[in-house]
Amino acid sequence: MKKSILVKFSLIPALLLIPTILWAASTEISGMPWWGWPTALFFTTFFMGVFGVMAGIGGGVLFVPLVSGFFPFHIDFVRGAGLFIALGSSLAAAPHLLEKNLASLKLALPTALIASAFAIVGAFLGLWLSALNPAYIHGSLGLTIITIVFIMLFAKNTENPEVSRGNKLTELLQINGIYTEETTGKEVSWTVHHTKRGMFGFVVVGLLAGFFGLGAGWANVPILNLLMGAPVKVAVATSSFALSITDSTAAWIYMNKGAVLPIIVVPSMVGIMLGARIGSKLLPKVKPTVIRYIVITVLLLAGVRSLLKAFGI
Amino acid sequence: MEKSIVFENAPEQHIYAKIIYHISNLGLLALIMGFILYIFGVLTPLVPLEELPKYWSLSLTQFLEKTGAPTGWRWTAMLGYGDVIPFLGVTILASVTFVCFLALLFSFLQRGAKVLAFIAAMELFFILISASNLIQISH
Repeated sequence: MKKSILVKFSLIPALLLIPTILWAASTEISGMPWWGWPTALFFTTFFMGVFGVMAGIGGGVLFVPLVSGFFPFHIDFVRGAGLFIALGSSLAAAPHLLEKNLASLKLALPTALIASAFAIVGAFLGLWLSALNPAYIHGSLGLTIITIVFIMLFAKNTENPEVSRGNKLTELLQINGIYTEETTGKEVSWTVHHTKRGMFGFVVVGLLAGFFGLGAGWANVPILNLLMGAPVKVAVATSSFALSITDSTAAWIYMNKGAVLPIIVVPSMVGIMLGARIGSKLLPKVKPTVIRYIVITVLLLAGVRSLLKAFGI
Repeated sequence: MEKSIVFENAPEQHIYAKIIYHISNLGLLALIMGFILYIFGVLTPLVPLEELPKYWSLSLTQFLEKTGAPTGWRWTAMLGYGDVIPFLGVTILASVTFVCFLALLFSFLQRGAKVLAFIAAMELFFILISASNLIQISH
């Protein structure tokens, strides 16, 4: 009974997220004072933080499509802020995940190296295309977000995948580790396979992260878990940690090009980090599947909105 | 015959975690302090706050032309402006990974982990390239 009340209460902010965005959208043309937008941004990112954590995707992936779709900021500034949000969230989570041995430095090193190198290419490509016509970015963002929705709907993680041994690249890179499963107290040893194919996946992850300023947890986890065979806990934690490496190169590019506006970055970072803390406390008390479907719906709406914006609608 | 694997985590994980923790807290503090100085008008911004809505929907090129906002590392010479001072915190946050990888490189070299040292050196190279603002694209 108590639990169901908590669940209902936790859904209230879910319903508030949509009006907040619609309110922001409807006032776009009205003469809102300068402080109105950062305030709306703070509340919107706060809810993104709450739901991102509860849906298990992090708030970063929600930020760029929602804010570029419904706020008046140019998409270059939104992408710059998106990278710093993903970076800030990752830096906040990493110490705990590394200390607990859930995030693996040995797994993150080669994968994040590939992704961060290609994030540079993605960042330049994104800024160049945006200078030609921002509609290219809105359109491709819309398509990417709709693809992410499908990945989220259909990719099912495997707790402890079977991994074939004897992969030379895995041995050369020494990708293995050990962590304590808290529910059983047992130590779990793990390694990975299909390392070459995994690395190719991180080429795409890096390109998308730099191009759209998105956190790429939605792509990292399926690659690490389903393709490379890392245990799901290691995949999720390493993905959260590796974003701090992947996004740092692209973040520097956006900053050097002048695409980082403190008035957008600071309220968003504070909002999403506060929201994520509250979300992680609410997490044990809510049904993640319900929240996940709400977030997927909001993401789908944001993807459609981006597509419409590309066509000037 | 299949070789046996020694399952272990990198001993550097804990040092890495400590560096992230301390520097990112410092960065966050600098970011929020800088933003307070900006938002409460303690330092005059390049672009007055009430005029910002006229500029934030412009393309990046137009924004830079009309506001004179700094690019590259020019912000370091303009720290007296309210909308530039938060870049100090932003830069600290963006530099965390660089500092961590520098520590990793020394540790890997010390214990003779050549492959891992090479990866750390490559990552440092990519961060330096992107932070240096040396790569330029023309439209």
